[in-house]
Amino acid sequence: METNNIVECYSCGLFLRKADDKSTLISKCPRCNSKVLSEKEHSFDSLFYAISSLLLFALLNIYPLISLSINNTQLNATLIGTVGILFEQNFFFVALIVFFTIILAPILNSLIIILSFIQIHTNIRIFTETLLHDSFHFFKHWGFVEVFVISIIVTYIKLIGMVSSTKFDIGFYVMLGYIFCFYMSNTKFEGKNVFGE
Amino acid sequence: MVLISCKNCHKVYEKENYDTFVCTRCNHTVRKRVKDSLQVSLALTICAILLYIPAMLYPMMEITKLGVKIESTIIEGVISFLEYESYFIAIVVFTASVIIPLIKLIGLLMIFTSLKINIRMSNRTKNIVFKFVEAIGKWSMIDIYVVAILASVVQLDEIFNIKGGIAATSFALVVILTMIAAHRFDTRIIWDE
Repeated sequence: METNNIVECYSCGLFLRKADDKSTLISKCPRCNSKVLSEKEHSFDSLFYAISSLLLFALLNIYPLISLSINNTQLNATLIGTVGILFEQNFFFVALIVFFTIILAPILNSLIIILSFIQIHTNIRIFTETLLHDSFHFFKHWGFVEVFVISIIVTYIKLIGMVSSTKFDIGFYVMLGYIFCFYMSNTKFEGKNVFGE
Repeated sequence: MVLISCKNCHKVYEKENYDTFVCTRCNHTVRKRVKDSLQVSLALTICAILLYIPAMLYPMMEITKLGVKIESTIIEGVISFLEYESYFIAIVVFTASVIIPLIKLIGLLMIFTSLKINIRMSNRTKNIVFKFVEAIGKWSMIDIYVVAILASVVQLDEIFNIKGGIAATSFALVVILTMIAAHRFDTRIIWDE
């Protein structure tokens, strides 16, 4: 039996025949009504977005996300600072989680996308395809940058009630651009492409 | 002949039986279902339920204002938002920090127990509940991030200072454990009857 045109619904385990091999439409499982994964078109946009997101990430670390002034003292919060303060206050476990979910996982996610494109389109082979594929899905699952952006907004509203000089700083606006590029790079990347089939 | 697919790379194979084998594409072991998925997920959910108690009872944040230290739990934080008349944020924090973890824990426990005890709930409903639990998983991290940003920005020694509280570790663990439990659970066993 030809198994290339068969997909499994990972919600209920039903095997389905693809209507069209080249179809990129999302189909629904007739038994559980879940979306059945279908392959996306391989897009170079993902690479460009991943590079842009890394550059924006470097940029947003230079500027503060939120700043305020109390008695002529300027206070501000940076991305690295939020992790650093948790370490200073001996919240090692929480600091590690925050560091991993908002810094390490998103950076490695973008790097994996870039490395995948390098390996697919050149003869350079740095990591195995399996490692790239697994890492992509792992870091995608554990990167919470969008949650962090909402947290900045919540913090701003909390602080503005206590200190009226609180304002969003340049870093926050760079972060919005970063989120867009990061999201697009993930949306346009198909993990299975690393196997080159 | 039976069909079996690699959960990792989604390659479909036709085999004689459901014996485990190594995927030719990604080199992962292919099984009909994820090994001990229910047991592991249930154990993690029980741990998360136990950690949810200190996360709610102990202070999430310590605010020092002009030498006076005030500790506040998650619920007290929500009440302070209501006092500032920030109703929208109060709802956001209450939903993200109290309701979502609770829904996740109850939802997962309900699905797991329904596999052993006969509960009148269709498989489609269980599937919808699980998808919802999976989708909202990371949004409970809001409170942890808010505490981290506040602690980072407000550092004026005894004049005005914000520190994380001991509930932060338990709460972060609740979020992470429920996420791992949901990720580890193989929903296909709901339909295996």
